[in-house]
Amino acid sequence: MFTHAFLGSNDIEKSRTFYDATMAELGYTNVVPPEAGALVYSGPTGTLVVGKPLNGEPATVSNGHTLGLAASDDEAVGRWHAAGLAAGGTCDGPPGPRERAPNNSVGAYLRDPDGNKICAFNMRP
Amino acid sequence: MYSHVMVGTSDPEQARAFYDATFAALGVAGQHTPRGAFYGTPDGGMFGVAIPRDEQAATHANGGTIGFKAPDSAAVDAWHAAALANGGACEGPPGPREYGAVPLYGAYVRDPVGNKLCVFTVLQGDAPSS
Repeated sequence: MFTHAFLGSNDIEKSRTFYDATMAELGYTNVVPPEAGALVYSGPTGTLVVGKPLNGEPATVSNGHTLGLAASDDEAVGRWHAAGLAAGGTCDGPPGPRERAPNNSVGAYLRDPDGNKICAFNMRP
Repeated sequence: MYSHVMVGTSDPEQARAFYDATFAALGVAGQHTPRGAFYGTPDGGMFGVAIPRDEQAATHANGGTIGFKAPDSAAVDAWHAAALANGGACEGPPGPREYGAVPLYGAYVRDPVGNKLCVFTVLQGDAPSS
């Protein structure tokens, strides 16, 4: 369904620390050089771009928006969450089964350094 | 890469009208929920729109964009038209986009809350319809 998602950042180096650490636990690495001024994590089923807003205004967060990343197993959800806490993120829900998710799938929630709400789920359809 | 993406709404009826029409243009089915709607399937990724869980007003980000796949350029055109007819605002009309070596065709809109959305398809010899 998705081609890509873009998340706004006000400090690309803080974002780099956070997303390099968390995306590595899901199997992705940044594919553009530091001088690009943005972060691009790309895979066969989608791309995540983190960078300054194109309009030059500060990045702000949405109320209601959550970006859900797919994890290959429950352990990866836990590693993703721990890596985020160690790299400038804040907990928005610890790893564990979620009643709202299909078949009580295991997920975890973080806020990135800019406050964007993200989660990782090992979905059991 | 993505399991699901959620955006907020303060008006579920308005959100259902907008997302029912725009996802229909992409051939994606959905279902309504008490607080909004869901579209897609777990294996391909799901998109949801709902009243925020903190019960505060839904707001849009600056710097946030969600990109959807379209099957062809006609679907991009249909998606953009459906958005404008259902409370969306144009943020970039359908047309070819140069973002690298792969020829793309895409369009941008804001949903009724202001969330920035786009759709893209890879041009594979099909002539853009506009």
